[in-house]
Amino acid sequence: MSRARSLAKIAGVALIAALTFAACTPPGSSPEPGASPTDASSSTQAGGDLRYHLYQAPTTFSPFHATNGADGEIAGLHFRPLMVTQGEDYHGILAKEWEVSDDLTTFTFTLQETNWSDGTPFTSADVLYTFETFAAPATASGFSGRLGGVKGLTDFQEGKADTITGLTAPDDHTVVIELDAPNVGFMTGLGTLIIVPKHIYGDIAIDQLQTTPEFREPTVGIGPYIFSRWVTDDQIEFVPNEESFEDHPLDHIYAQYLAGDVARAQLETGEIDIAQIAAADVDAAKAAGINVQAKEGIGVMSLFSALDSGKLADVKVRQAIMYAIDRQSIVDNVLGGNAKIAETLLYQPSWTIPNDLTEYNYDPDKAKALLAEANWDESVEVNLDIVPGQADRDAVMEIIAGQLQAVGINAKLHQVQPAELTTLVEDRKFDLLITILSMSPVEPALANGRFMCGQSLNLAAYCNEELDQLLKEASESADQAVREPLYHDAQRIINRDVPAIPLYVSNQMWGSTDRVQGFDPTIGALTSAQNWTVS
Amino acid sequence: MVSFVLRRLAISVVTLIGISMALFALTRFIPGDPVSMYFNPLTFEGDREAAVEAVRARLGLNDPIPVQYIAWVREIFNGNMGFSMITGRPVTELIADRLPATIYLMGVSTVIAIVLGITGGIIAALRKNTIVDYATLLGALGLVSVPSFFIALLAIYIFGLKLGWLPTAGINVPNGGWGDAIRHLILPAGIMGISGSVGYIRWARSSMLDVLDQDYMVTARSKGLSRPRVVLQHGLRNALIPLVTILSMSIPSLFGGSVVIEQLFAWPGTGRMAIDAISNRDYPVVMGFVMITTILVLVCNLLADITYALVDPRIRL
Repeated sequence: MSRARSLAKIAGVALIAALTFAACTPPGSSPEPGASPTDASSSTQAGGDLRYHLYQAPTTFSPFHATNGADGEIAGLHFRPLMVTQGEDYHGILAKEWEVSDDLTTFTFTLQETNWSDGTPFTSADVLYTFETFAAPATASGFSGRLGGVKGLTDFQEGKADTITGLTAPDDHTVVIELDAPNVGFMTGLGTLIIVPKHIYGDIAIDQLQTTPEFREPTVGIGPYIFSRWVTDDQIEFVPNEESFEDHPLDHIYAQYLAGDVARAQLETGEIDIAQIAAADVDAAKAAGINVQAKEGIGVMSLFSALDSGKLADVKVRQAIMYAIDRQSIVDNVLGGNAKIAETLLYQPSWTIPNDLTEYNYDPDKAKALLAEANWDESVEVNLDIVPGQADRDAVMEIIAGQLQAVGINAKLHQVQPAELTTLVEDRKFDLLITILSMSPVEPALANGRFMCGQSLNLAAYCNEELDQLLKEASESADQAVREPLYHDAQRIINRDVPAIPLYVSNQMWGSTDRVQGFDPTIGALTSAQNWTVS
Repeated sequence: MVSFVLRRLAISVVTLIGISMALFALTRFIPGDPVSMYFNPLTFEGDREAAVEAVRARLGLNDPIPVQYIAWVREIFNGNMGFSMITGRPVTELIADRLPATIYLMGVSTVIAIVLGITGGIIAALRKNTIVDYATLLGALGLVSVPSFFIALLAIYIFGLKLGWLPTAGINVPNGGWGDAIRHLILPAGIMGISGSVGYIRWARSSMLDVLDQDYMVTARSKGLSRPRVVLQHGLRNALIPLVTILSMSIPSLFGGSVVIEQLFAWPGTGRMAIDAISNRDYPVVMGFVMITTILVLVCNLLADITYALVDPRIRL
């Protein structure tokens, strides 16, 4: 008996010891890093801390491997791209100026004269190193396609050349890129890639870049605020970079991953300063005193079908689906009016859209007539494929299922896990998959890969050679007067053929607390933190 | 005794190997492939097949599963549990990063659960078949019937949003001190502690009732000892003996964390990490997490077995 008691005591002591061990410092306060060259004390003005909500868990600062939105945000603040798009315009960051040759094959970037946070000058060598690393097959970057068409790229990727001949640097502050063929969309794709310091990453083997600790805790950056430490495994502290040419008035920025509902609650209590909120929550957020701003969405919520699998290969069936869905009612009732209907998948820039597109207004009778013309077999099951968990999409798909059934399409909700989604796409087994694919608000040619025959980004595997020809011609000119009629024709084809079922473009809704000034989601999110102050 | 311990140890090792094999195979049979998921076909710009192939080859995912398993076991013996497929960080480091937060939350909530549970159970036992007893049992039944996520959401709404007394989520504010840390701890640990106390209440009540009927209790009372002394020194001490088992069974959960509470309160612990790893099909992290939990369960069971054997020699036979 006494032995049992002493064992009980030992167990108790062990538990207490474990707790004490875990509790040497207050939780969530990992030690401050050593004296940083960029500490907050000598800041330009205001000061103060700002807390920013990340809607996904950040995993890496590597721009080569930034696969989720949060990675892109943290990497884009610590490192910087040559340029960003703001609304329908370009805004230079590491590029001071840029020039495009008349034949659209040569792009010249003049770089900012600035330093990395450790005082090393930023030069064209950093840019060349970064671009080549993006292109190298061993990097396995999901952005390598942005360099498509650069002279000498194929030789480089096949290992026949050590460098890409089309990428050159006449001097320390100029980068010249030459293409094999004209491509007006090229600059946006390339210019928005994030640049990293060669003197830090150049010595790391390319296939180690994904796992190097230097991208987990980067020591050198160039943004207005740079990485300081991981406060916890999903919260990052940024401090001002005194070498930066951009404003950096805040003392700290904390970027933290939180579930959406938690973030909204924290906006209300002031524990978070800036967060994205769901369209359905906008009224409640406003009532709670949160400042709400809208930004036009960057893509159309659409239903994609594997057209090569044959089920929805008949264009009349796809048109029937357009008529069968009451999109206006979805926008009004599910999204609280914070969205607009799109009649074409390529919904911006506005100059590409002619005013005579067919409007597929809700008309179940017309849908039935089209299905009859197409000899639609009502016994064919059509899966409505969805990754569940986002309230608006869940609701939309429920409604669509009912509306399709009402016109005689045997539609069934089919829920898939995120990890199964890629398999579904690879196996070409999706009938109507709801997703949103981003488009560029500035340059329509960037979306070519989503429409042209045989392109990997063409999710539906839609193919129309007439459309390809129009898009190709339009991307070989920078003159809007030339491009506009070409795009109008292209849009008419897209509108008629319905390669995917466009539903709506929903606004991104952002909430911020009263103490934040200078936040404008239309300019950018975390990557435009140079504009922010707090009171 | 030594042979008993060795036998139990051998059984534990065989169990561990069996579980690791089954788990290794299972993680690979779940639909969905981490590499093809990492290179999302909806957004990948470039030669996706080549990228998938390069990474699969680098991670050795093209080898047959038994070969992968042996490679994994070999690395385990070198102290390497592999690297996360998503972040590339060593699994040991990921778990070590998350563990303190989980031990802290689970430890405090377990202490709350034990204190509340034992106190409640003893009071219910001493007041058997009175209104106090029924109220305690009914309260416990109510708590066990309402899911903890509901209680958590309600508590966040009341104490975080409406009254503004406590923070709604997170482990601390950056650079916060102990005051802030404790404020962040109250809701999650309190809720888990209260929910967790239910089991202890029922256990302590029945254990105490058993003890109260024993002859030595009658003896103690007949000696003229005061009631508190009879209850605490003679009754409670004996009723607490099974505490060894209860404690040893709760230790693995100290490390495993609570998926629901960690998710709701944005607590950066192992439970949340495990859920993310499972949905991302991050095999090495899932394996590492489950193996550590398995080892803890086995070790704790072993300790419990040994303790019983010490207490009751018949078990050694």
